[in-house]
Amino acid sequence: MKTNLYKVAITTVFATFFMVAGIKADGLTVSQQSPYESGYQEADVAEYFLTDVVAGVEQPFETIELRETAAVEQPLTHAVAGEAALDQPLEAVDLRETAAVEQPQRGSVTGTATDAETGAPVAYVTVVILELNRAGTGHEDGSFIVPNLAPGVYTLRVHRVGYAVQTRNVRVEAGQATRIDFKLRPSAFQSRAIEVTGRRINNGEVYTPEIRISGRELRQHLGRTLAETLQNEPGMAQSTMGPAPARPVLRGLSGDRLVLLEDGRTTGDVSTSAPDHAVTIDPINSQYIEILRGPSALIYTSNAMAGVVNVVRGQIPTELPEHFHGAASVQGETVNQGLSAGLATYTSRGNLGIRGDLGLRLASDIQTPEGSLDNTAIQSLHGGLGLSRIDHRGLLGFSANAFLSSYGIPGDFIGSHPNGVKINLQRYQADVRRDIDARAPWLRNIRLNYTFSYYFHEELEFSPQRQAFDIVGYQAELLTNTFTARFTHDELGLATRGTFGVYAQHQYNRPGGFTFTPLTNDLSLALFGYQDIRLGDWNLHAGLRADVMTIIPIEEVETAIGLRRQRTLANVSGGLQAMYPLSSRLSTSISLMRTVRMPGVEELFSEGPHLPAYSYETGNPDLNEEIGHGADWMLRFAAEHFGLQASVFYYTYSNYLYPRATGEESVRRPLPIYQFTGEPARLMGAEVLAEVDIFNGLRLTGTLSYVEGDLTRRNEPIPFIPPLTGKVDLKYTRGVYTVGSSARFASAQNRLGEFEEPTDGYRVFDAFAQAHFTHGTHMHTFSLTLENIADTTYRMHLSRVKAIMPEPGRNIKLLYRMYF
Amino acid sequence: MKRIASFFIPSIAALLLISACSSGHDHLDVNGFDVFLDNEIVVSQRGTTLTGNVSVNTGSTSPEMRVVFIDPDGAEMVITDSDYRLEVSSSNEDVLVANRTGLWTFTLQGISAGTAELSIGIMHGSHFDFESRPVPVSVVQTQQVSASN
Repeated sequence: MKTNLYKVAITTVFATFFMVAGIKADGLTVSQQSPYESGYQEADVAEYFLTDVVAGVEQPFETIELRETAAVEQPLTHAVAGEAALDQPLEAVDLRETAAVEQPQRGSVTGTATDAETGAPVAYVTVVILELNRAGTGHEDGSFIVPNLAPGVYTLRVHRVGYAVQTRNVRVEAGQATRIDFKLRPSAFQSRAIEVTGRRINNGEVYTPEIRISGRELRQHLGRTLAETLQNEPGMAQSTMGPAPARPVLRGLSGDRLVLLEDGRTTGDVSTSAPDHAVTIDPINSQYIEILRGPSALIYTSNAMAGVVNVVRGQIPTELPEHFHGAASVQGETVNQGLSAGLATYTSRGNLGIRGDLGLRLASDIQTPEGSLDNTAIQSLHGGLGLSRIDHRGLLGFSANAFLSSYGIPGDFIGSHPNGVKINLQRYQADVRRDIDARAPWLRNIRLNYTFSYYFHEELEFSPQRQAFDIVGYQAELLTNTFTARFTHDELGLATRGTFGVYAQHQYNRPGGFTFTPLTNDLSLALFGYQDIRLGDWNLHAGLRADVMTIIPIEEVETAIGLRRQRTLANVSGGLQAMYPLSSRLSTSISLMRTVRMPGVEELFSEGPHLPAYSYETGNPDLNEEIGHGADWMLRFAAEHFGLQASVFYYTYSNYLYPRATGEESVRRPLPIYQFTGEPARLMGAEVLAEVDIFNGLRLTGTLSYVEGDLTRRNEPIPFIPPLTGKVDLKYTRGVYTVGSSARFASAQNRLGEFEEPTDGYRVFDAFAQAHFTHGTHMHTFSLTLENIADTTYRMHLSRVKAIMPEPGRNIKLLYRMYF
Repeated sequence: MKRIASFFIPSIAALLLISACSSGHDHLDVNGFDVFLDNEIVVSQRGTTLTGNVSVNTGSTSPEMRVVFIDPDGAEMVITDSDYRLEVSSSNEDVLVANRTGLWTFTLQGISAGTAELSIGIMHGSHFDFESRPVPVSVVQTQQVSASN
């Protein structure tokens, strides 16, 4: 462990060196403009680049006045400036040039879009003139210009992901620039909107995530783990085995069925293989978290029925900030005497973008209303350094990061080890990324990524004789090489944008300890495509993916579970999502998916005790792919003061893979044998999200999620499916202050799988207060959260340790984050 | 194209290098054991079936007992590799303490009257290769160590 800390310390020193170098270089100007320098980025991401935003706050009116002058005195120049703001630049230029010569009596509309609560500019708003069906995109500083308008009254609609839509009438006078400013109200509901407008947002991605958590919402819900951070999202639950090894569950799907990514690449850990294996992502330094659903998820995986969770840290810089900036966070909580801290910094030197981050988390045993849950302390440390050379042709970037963690699994549940198990893990990763900006309509960008990851994990049992955790129960060593190449285009045939790509991965899997699972080499290859198509009022998203995977055990041998041999599997997945606006406020979408999940090494070949799961797991070398088919229907209503989104889904699996008790015990260790098997299965459910503005600043939000799953041939429930869950959130915002209260609730779960225990329903109340203050170019944010105010004893159905201890008791959590 | 090639080649080279790793890790395949006390089998396990039990006096230490492990063919295993050793432990050290006395021998020490479960295993380096079914042990006030099948 000391050696690993030493390695991280070196990484940190390097990061600090480059950051200091970056500070010295602050103020250097960039001579060449490239798409990466032009500042295309999501508004919420811009929180990390607050100095830019603050600068915008300080001088928005000067900017507008200059533009107004330009509009009056130099219409042609102004028109060219406006080109960048429009989605249809060629058409716009033609119109403007004609206007300048033949119709000088036209007018324009200028204005700004600012956050009604913070006053910060809202970057890249979409501005639509409804009567003309013309749309454009605002600037990073919140300003927008719509030039070349015939005199008259127009309906102007402004919208942006994360904000409620605003519509206002505007009168355009000949030869005049009419000023109109919008104060947009943030809206959690609106952030879930499916947007089809905008280019180069989302770090150059072609898709728009269905859910995106950032800014204030992320700060409020920031938890010890990614799963805890996401648990309040519709359809989301967390599967836990103590506080550290928690994994998100979406629509009852987890493990390999809910892919977790960091910066769009696999985590390179073994968190999918068992509930006690932690996810190697700490959310404290994340910029934002996005959830992809539908065909866009096929860019990353063939197995995305529920979706893909992508945590964006931005480890490889994609822009050249003008000065040194970043974010520093400190969070403390009482329920486990936990302290976590994070620092992420950005700077540039010439055309070299530099990013460094460091995170630390320390926590003692967690307290519950019934006492302390022993062996649940956490220690983790992560850090990374990223460098990018950015010019007008694209970027060449590199990043390296390390993640170290040590945590415990409680003992004494369902016959597990009486003293629990200690788990130590380490992950080291290096990434190389090459972006080539082709600047052709049929090929906008080529992106090449290579990631190397080394992961080590060991589970230590307690030795009563030596009074120490020194018996190795299980070890895992995983080397992963991943290569992706993506070709992104704008208009191409029927498609308005899209991407094609190839994915290749090699994994070397070396289990150790008390396990008879063989060493394997796994090779995966995939071709994928994703397209956005607009047909009249219909917006279509289509994805197609072909995967081939081969798993090669080091030696082919006949065992008690069958012949361990090379397995090669190939299949095709795909999806189609169609969205249609029924009216200006009501829209609907339907999504059809076919997913493929290849069986993993554990499912095929594992043989060994897994003490934290109290099982002796055996694979099944004859397993085939898990094929899923799903339909998802959504209805969305969005008015100025009320929003409602409802969705229902139905998934079927022809070969749902899961471990099933054989009724036998292992000879090698007295544990019940669970063998992986495939069964037809079905999952169905619904989610509702509603939001209403009661009066100015007071907002009520509610979510409700339900899913049930069955093994259809056996006519029995799938184990570990969450019950009906929901949340009601009342929030009042005035200026820079926000206060609120929420109630989380769940019904009892009596639909039980094999060997499952029922769980009672619960209601838990939380409260929170947030504030942010700007001082010069710094913004200070405070987030105080009181969880489980009443110290209620409750148990979550997906907790594996619920039999011995309930969920955490009353907790006071304070987060301070400074953007500089 | 040259740039792309310069990116690909190191990646593929790294991939091939890693693919070359193939070292294995062997385990003993154990199907049971016999515990001998004065050349008499006092406890035996075959597959998942355990027979026999042990009792020991309070305040005294049993004679040395020897463990012989059995492979799936029913043959006695001769384990000479020094990476392997016997591991014995008691579920309740307030009642019974188990002590390894040699490579494959151990004694039991009665602490107080009651029952405890004895675990007999093979350690391979820092991990188990085999762990027995819990062997019931009674700690009684009698003077003799007795055994029965």
